[in-house]
Amino acid sequence: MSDLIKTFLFYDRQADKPIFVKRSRDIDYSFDGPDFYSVETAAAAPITASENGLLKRKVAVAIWLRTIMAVIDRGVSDDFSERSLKAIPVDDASRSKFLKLTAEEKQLLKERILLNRKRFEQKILAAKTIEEVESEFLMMRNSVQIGIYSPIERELRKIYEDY
Amino acid sequence: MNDRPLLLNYTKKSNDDVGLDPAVMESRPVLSRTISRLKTKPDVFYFCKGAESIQELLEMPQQNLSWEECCFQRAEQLLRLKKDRYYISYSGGIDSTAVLVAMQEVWPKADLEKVVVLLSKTSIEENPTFFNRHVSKYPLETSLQNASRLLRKPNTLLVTGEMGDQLFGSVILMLPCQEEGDQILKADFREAVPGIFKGLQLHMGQLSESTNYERFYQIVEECPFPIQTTFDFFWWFNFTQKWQFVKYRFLQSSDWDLHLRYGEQILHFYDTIAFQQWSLKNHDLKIQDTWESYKFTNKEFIYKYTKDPEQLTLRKIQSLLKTFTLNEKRMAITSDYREVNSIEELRNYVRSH
Amino acid sequence: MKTIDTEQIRQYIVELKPEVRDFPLDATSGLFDAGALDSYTVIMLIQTLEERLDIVFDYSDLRAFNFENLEAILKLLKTKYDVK
Repeated sequence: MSDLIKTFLFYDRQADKPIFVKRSRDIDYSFDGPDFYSVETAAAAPITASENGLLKRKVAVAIWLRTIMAVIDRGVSDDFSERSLKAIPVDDASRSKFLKLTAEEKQLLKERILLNRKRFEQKILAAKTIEEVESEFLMMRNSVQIGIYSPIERELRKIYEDY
Repeated sequence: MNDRPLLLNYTKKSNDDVGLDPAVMESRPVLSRTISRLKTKPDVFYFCKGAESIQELLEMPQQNLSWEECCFQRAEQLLRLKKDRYYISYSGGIDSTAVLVAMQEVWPKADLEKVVVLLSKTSIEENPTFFNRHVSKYPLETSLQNASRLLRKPNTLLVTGEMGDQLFGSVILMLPCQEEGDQILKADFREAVPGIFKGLQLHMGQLSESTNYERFYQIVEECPFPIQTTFDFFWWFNFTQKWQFVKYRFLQSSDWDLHLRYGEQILHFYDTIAFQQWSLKNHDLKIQDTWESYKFTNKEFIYKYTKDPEQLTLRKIQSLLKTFTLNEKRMAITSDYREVNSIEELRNYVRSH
Repeated sequence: MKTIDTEQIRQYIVELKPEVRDFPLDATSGLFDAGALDSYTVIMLIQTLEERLDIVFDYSDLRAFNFENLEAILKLLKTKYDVK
């Protein structure tokens, strides 16, 4: 486990005060929106109680999105690791074809994870009301195609969404 | 309403109010994606007719082919299309394995050189023996790519193993069998089905008091033989209510080129009259006493021509859903292959009951 | 050092998903099986635990077996995150 903990402060652009903090060992939470910006810092700063519920909710949902996409990305890495691929009983004669195929697949998945994250993030950050944020959040959570690739196996239950 | 193009397929699990009645709203998305082939229409939306009705299937001349004959007939039909390139979508599951087996038995070697297999790592994990012995000899491409791009080349065809489930039964029963034992397959459908539907809703995060059974039970009246068991019911439900949805499911992906049409650049192997008539006439050949035996007829077909005993124990393990694409889905598609983009437009298609 | 028990963890889940209050869960009941946790709630639970216990998760710990039941979550917190 990494000992280095990064702290990300989210500032209300208008008030220029930190309204949200997120700490992380692994994940990069540097992102900005039209009404906020983030700063990575070693030291914590006191968080201002903010009246701006919309801003806080946007940041919270965007953080959730980054987290889940990072988890999915790591899941892809694990699934396509040398160790995982070696465990699949492919004949020597077929192995080079298999490795070429899986390399392409891994790259495609990683590109899509990034694309999806950007696409969803854009929608969240552009939202003008809390209702919009919640609606987008619900859509993301119902996006089986994203959730299903989480390392949490029970998401496979969502098979029924496409039976 | 009759002048308006109708929906071909609906997919998006929108939580916005599209003007559905409260009981239906609570039961989404299960309800909203059924497209009935019966006179009884529990459909939430007005859908156009994108597949044969059950009545048509029963009234047209009966082909009375065996399962094997249906497979070989279809393989020959595909060959006669004289395409330059055939992309075969292979998930590693029973149905797509049978597609390749049928083609390999019927096609001349020279024509098999036109085959490219689209697959993923998961396809190989599902059935590594078949991959090693059969699939790996073909050119391979990842099934995660945008298949539309491959099909823009002239005279190419994508063949999928879709709709095998609709012929054989329903994957809905897999979990109930695991949780309650195989005896649930033969339970009286009137007693077991409401609870299974309710369990389904619960798994999908819906806590409605109403169940989908209330909306669908009438479909049993149109079955040509009596529906008695849970398995009977869910096969009939899948065969009559999900056929069109699954047939046009490929349109859901936002990267699918809507100029590419079913029947021209894409075909599902199991979408023939012969297969559908087989399903209506051969109910005893779909499953035996256990969930393990589901699709035994297709497994035996594969075994007969591969002589690989592992093929007899292939499990239905969510093979379809493991084809991860991470692609956004469209909300709905109209009968003139246009994308529906707004809730406001979608409301126009809501069917009153 | 913060303290926690399985009941407190259950309460955090109930905060995120109120219907879980009525689920018959004990320390070893499968949380995913019961529908108490999914990819949404588990991330939110982690964020809640981080805030309330003043810890920072290593996301390599986000594995199904670590969140399988209340006991597993508690074990993770006690062995890796210095929670009593």
